[in-house]
Amino acid sequence: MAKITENTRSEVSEVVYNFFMEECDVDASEINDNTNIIRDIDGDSLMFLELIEIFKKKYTLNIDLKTIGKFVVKNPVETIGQLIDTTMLIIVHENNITEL
Amino acid sequence: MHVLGCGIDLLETKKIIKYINDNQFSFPCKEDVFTDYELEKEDSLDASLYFPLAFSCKEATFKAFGVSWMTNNVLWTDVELRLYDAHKCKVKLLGGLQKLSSKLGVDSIEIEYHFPYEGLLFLKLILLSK
Repeated sequence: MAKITENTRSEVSEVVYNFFMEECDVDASEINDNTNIIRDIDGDSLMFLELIEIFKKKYTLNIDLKTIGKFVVKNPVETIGQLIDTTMLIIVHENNITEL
Repeated sequence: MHVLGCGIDLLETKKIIKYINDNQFSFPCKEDVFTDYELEKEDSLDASLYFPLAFSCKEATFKAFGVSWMTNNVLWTDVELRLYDAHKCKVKLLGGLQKLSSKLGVDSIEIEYHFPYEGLLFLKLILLSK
């Protein structure tokens, strides 16, 4: 179980923003919480997988990809803000996220 | 024959090959993405050909069926690539995609790939019915 602190959200946000700035070769000024990951900065499924792996390791998460898939079918992740929100839910609830 | 769907994928192979080191494949969430059969290729000589092909094949198959792991209840492991040699491969569908394939009446899947430039894989997949 990951330890959640008041800084966790800003940690997650920093990891996500730094990841997309590097992978998509964009400046911080070009992206914000409303940026559409696929349409605006050419994000792809491999990037989503890489981010999931980063957070699984960082917070020692017990979460399966199929569980995330089930959750995002009902709670789409299109923007950076939505990705950060969903990541926070995954960190808190792990494989129980589909019970929300 | 009738075409029921088609999917294409363009992949920079280095994005996958970077995860192959010392006969180990450190791809993110690899057990959730690749099947046991596919992961047996981890220490094979053709791993740097096989894994880009397998990943690209999964992407193209999702596109051909009009589904995604993030928008439908399908799994990456529902698509398995069988590579017999560098020029002959076959797609095996499992789980939810196998059921969807039966429902749609898919009788065969045609797959072709080539490397238009070094390090760039172009893969085309067509769903066919009789």
